[in-house]
Amino acid sequence: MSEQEKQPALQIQNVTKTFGKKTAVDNVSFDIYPGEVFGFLGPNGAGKTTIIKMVMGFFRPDNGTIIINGFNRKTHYEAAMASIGGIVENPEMYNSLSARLNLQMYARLHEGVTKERIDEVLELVGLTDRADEPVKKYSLGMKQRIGLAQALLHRPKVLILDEPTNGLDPAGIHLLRDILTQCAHEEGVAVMVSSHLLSEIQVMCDRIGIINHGKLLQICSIDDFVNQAQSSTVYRIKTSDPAKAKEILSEKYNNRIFNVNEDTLDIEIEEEQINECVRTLVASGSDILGVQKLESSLEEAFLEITGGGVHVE
Amino acid sequence: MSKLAALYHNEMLKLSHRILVWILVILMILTSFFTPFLLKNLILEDSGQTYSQIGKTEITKERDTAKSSLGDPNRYVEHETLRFTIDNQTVELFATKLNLSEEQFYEYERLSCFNAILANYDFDSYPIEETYLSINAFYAYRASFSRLCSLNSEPFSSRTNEWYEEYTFATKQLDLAKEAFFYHDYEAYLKNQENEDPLSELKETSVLRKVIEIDPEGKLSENETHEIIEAILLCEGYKKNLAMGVDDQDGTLMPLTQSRKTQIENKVKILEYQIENNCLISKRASGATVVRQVAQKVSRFLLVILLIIIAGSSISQEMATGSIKSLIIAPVKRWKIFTSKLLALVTWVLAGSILITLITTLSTALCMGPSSLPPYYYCSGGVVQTMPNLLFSFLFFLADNISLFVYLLGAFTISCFTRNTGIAVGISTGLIFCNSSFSIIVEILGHKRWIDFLPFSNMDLAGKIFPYFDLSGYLDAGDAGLFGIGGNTLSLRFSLIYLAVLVFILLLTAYDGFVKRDIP
Repeated sequence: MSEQEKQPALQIQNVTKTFGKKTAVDNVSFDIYPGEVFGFLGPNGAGKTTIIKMVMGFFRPDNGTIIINGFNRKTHYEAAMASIGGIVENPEMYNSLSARLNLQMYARLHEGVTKERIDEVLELVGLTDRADEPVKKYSLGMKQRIGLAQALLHRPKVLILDEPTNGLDPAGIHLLRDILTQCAHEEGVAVMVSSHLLSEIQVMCDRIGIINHGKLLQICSIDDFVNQAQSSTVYRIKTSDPAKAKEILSEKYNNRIFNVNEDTLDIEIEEEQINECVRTLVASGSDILGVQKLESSLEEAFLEITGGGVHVE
Repeated sequence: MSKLAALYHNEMLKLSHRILVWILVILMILTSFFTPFLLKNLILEDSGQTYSQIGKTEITKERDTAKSSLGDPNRYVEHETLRFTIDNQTVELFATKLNLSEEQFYEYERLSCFNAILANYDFDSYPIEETYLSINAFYAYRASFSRLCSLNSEPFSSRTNEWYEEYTFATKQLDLAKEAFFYHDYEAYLKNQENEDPLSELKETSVLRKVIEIDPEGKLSENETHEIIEAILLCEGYKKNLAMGVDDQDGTLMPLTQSRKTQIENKVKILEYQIENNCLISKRASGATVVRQVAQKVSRFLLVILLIIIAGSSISQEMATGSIKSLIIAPVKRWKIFTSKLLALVTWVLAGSILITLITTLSTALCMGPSSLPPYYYCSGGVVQTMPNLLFSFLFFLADNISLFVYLLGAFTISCFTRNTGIAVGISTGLIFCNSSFSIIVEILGHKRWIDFLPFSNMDLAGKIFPYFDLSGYLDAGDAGLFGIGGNTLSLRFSLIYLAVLVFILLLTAYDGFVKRDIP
């Protein structure tokens, strides 16, 4: 593993892309290593797809270098692109052709993809029975599956999937997760998955990068991210007079109090602090009717990092 | 290179799975096959009779009419009077006494003529010679007779010296023609014609001599004789132009350039070769050639529709449906995708041209006989050579389709640049329409220098690449095509350079539109 880590499968170095006056991707650099699943996280319009499209050859970066499997994309285009596979946005095929024919056509553009390999990937994504139907008869989920089959067809070193669970049924999501994990952990493929859904990233990824407004805000392992998120937890305190309680607590936890309702208030503190917090309230004469620990603080951590991320740009 | 081949393979595969392509191909095949059958009846059928046979039939018919008319005693008397007066050169009675209308006059002229020639003609002792010259002498006799009649109708008071000269001349012509027709002695007749009217008659006389030389016994059919005469006259015309240093292009007289001079000299050689070897393009053959050519052009309308759709959608449609993604993700450089699509387009132009040529040739051969398609005669290095019909027909059609390809490239470019199939197909179809009717605009505007720099003026290539097409019975592109302006005198070199520049600009724009720009 350490040997592989010296040689990233995908290197993105100081990549910038502007559309007119708007900077879509601003000096982004990161590496993805063989055997890991890298989650690319950001709200809508953050620049995820722009980066993916640059890696996949749709856009030319204004600045910066993209190196795939050791080949500079600019100088060794075909060698670099030979080690990449993926789906950008929705997978689109030649609709009047069958799935098998679509794969055969794609296979022709790569070296060493055999007929057996086509059958193998069709089997892998569970489309063997319907492979000879024209793609236009497929549902969105089936199209995702055939897109995945196409992405895997030539055994790429780097697999890039843009919002891959879009349109998949639960079984499909499960299958996708299994395939990705298998690719990364058993075959040593570097997988990059973009999503705006944290829960999805959480279960699939080893490492995540968070992007917003074209800037890469943070890269860390998913464990660190979860720990960081869990180190401070939100508690919901039920009291008869939340306004008074807020007054009392604001001295010490000023910025961490929110959602003051009729009889509850939420406070974000570390686990050890809750004891002291309750004690303070009791000491000042507030009645505590209940204390509840709220789950899913990852979302909040994400929102905090991306600065809310509600505005689509 | 293998990537390019793979991409090309995929392009052809994609096109072969489009239903629209198959519908249009089938329509094209049907049109190619059936158009010659529909057009066949428009072509004049050769009666198969020799010219002399037809001439003899006509003379005999006229004689019978004359005889039956002469059977009417009153008319006979009138006619006798007329004949009498001619022999004695005193015809004053004719116009004054008989007060005839023009129509009646013609009738009398005819009656007199046929009576004079034929009423006493002994067919058994002197059979009518079945040659072109003999018939010609007969008509000359009749013409001189008519001339004399009209001269005679002039009153004495207005007869001048010129009148007497003309009268003497007509009388002499009459005698000579009579001599030639009755006794088959043409030498004096021909010589006289040559001497008397050196400018206009010379041509006809030399034509007569040549026809006699080629066909001394009158074996050739009416059409064949006409073909020879036309060819000889054309040849004479070219020679005259060469001698005068004039270039007559569809009625526009221009100074003769060196390249045109060689071309016209070659045309003369080809014509002389065709006349000598009796391999002139027969009416039937040129009819068949035109039928096939028109069928090619009609079928091409469907090819144009098909190819405009292919060219105008090849990139924009893939962008619209998103299927372009699997090409972009693949490890192929974008210029290879671009080139493979262009190559697929070129293949379709070629395949369409081959298919249409083969089928129209087959069906033309079926409905007009395989021998009706003559080879192409051309002159290379001063030697007249032939090219097989099918090959030439394909090459000529292909040369005509160079213009089509330029328009397709235009559609392709607009498709790359705007990424909108509708705009690409619409604009290029509009331009083709504009081209086909542009000659009308040119006719209204008159010839202006800037018109030469419009694409429309430079699309008529087939006729310029194969300048001797008309000698093998082919029509010009301007006459029956979508492309080109009639009466266009631009040189092949100018048009080729112009189109090369145009194609280069189009390719560059398309390349920039697809290869350099981002794909959304």
